Amino acid sequence: MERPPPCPKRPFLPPAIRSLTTRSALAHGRRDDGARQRREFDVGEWRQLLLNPPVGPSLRRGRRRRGSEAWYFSARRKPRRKRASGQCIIARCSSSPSPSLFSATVAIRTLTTTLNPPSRSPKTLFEIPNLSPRRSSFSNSIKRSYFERKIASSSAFFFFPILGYEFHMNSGKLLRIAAHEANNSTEASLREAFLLIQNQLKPPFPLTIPSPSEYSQLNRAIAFGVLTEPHLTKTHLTHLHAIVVDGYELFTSILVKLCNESFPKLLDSPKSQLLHVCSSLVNVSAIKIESLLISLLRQINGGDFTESNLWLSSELLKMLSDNWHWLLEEPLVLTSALFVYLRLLSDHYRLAGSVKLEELKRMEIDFCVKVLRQCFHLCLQIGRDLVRLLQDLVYISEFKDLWKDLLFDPKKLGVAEYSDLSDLYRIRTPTHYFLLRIPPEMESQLRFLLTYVRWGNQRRYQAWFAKKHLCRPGSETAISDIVRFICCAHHPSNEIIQSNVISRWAVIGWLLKCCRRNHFEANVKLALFYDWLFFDDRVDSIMNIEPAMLLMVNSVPKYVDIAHMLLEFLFLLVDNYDVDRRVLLARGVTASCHLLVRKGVVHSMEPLTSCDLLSPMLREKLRSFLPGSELSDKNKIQEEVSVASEGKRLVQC
Amino acid sequence: MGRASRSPFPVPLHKVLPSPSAPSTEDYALRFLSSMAKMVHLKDIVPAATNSVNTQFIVLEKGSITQDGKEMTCLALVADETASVHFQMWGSECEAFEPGDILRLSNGIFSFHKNSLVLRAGKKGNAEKVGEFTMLFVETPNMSEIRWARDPRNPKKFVQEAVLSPHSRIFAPSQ
Repeated sequence: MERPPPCPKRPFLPPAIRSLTTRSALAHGRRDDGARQRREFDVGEWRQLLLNPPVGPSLRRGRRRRGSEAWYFSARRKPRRKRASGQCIIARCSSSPSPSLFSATVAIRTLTTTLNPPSRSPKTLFEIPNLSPRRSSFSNSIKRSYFERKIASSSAFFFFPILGYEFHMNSGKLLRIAAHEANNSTEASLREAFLLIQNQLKPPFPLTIPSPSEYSQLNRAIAFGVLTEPHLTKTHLTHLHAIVVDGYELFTSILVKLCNESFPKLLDSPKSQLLHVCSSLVNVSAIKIESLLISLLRQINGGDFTESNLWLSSELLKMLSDNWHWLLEEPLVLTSALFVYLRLLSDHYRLAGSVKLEELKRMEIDFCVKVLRQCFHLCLQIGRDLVRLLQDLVYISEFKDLWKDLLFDPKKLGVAEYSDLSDLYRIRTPTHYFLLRIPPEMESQLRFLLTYVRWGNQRRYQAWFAKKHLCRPGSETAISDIVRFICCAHHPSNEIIQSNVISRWAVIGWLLKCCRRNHFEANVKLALFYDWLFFDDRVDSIMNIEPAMLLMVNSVPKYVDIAHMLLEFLFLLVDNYDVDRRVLLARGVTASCHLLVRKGVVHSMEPLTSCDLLSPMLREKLRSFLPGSELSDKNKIQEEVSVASEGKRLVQC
Repeated sequence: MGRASRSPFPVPLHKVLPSPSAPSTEDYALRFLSSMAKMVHLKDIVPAATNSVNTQFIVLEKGSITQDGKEMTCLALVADETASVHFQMWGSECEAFEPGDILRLSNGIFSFHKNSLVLRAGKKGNAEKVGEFTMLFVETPNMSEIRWARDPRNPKKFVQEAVLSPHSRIFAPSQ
């Protein structure tokens, strides 16, 4: 984490000035021996130096204008005062020959810090970093910058005005706001609170008990402070711990809101601060901290192997591993993290990369195996999608061993409820898990598409979506997560189903076509049919299996190849997905077809079974799964057909 | 650079000097409300010589960037739930806005520019991005593809005379 650079005891002058010092020293016939020589400057020389700065980028980029005057003085020349140097400067300023210049909010900084900011580029200091509109904080900012940075003890002060603006070390920015982009309201509200009570955010903290509105303002101000001032993290967190009366609920919800709305836009430093704050909130078991962690887990983009995304996954994983005991008491966070990292691992494992990536893979494997081995009873909550995720990892030796135990030695896992893989198959995965692999922004776009966009208008939205989320190399892998989300987590109401809004099956058909590689396409088809294989109408929702059926039936007229491909894949799955439990899978598919016809999602399977364009073998096979072939008795079917004709697509959510 | 009369301050002092306090939430709310009050739908815009259009729309498509004198310009098709129109971007706007962006235009102007009827921010107006993706739109009618005539009762005003094309003739419709 970024810390403020230690202030050098003796101010260091940049080479250009030093050489000037040398030259001047030579002109005075003296030997150059460092800082002491600097006292030899006379007013004219310094004036010259400041008006025509010899240092290239840093000073020239400043707001110097011809005609402006520069003041300076050296602390050593003046008798030392015991007063705070900030006040001392103000006093001097007001008695300066041209008070008007100083009456403006002029920023005074030491030459040292301006010319030689050790770790920041000079640019950041000059680029309107923080335009504080508050004059009263002027002297404070000076005092603070002196005392905290301990420049007061340095041997020479050189001050000069930078016209117009007042600078803080606090860059005051949370988000990356591009040109022509509106300000973010959340950021604005946090910043407003911060600017208003900035003075109260440093010790000594008042002992008064804040009113509810003050409390909320204080929380927002501290949130802004802690995210934008990495060098004051400790102060702000101490303050937070001192004032908190609601178990950190308000503070955490501020962070959750910020994270959900604008995490991708957060600048790097606030991002790492956010993670740091999150881990300290874990330490105090803040209320709602699990929402914050889950929100952060969602921010790891699937199929994005950029540095920042890998950094996020590794930092979060470190935090989770460091807080293992806390994690054991939060089953939802534990299983969510497992779900996320199993999914990420299947992508990361295929990548060969840097040392960092190898380290991340190792950490992911260790974490997942530890969770699965030690808390398998909690992992059962994830349900059948756990198997789907694990099957991608079978090539990793640790997981190979786990698979052996899952299949042949279930007792080794030490959970009474688990005796066979079919126990896991029977558990329907809760909706919550499907959201984990969909970042909030993608979720809102998908939900918008499936709630408002009418048939015929979808082309542009699809192009925008693909451009934003699917154009990166490797991002196809996210399509299977999106399909899982659409099938299992986005269930439109009956009004929307009956309206002219684009259907889920059409979006899935489009996503299927976005896959360029067979491997990803197979995963997408598996995601689409996964609930068919284990369908049981007592626990499962018809909405999970509806899109696949409608996609097949509706693509017969125009895109028969899609129907063909899907049917072929379904039968392939039944025969090969789990050879030992073939009966279970066949029963699942039969139950699915049965229910879909019974509930009137499709009136019959006629379009598929009588379609000449499908191969006779497929049609024959399909008939074997249809109601009436082997499982159902005829009376029951007739009853169901009448039900189907009555209620149109009466679907349960 | 360096005119003799230039003040030492790069910005006039009254602009630099802080306002008494930072804008409060009420200020933001007021600003928001006052900007909302005048918001119009694209179907209601009428060519005029003044900057007075406050509206919000989504960028559907961008043309190629061309050089117009010193500045870059770029024609775009934008739309809201009621109509579409050609929007002309200027200078840095051309690179800042992409298809799928939701823009809020304040004090924009809808007028003829080199014989074509376009909506633009103009010198006094401002367009900024407020979101992405989540906005509905229609491509018909296109307000730039309407012939306007002077209102016989009030020659200062324009009224719709004829529809030249139901949709943009520059950007093909999506269906």
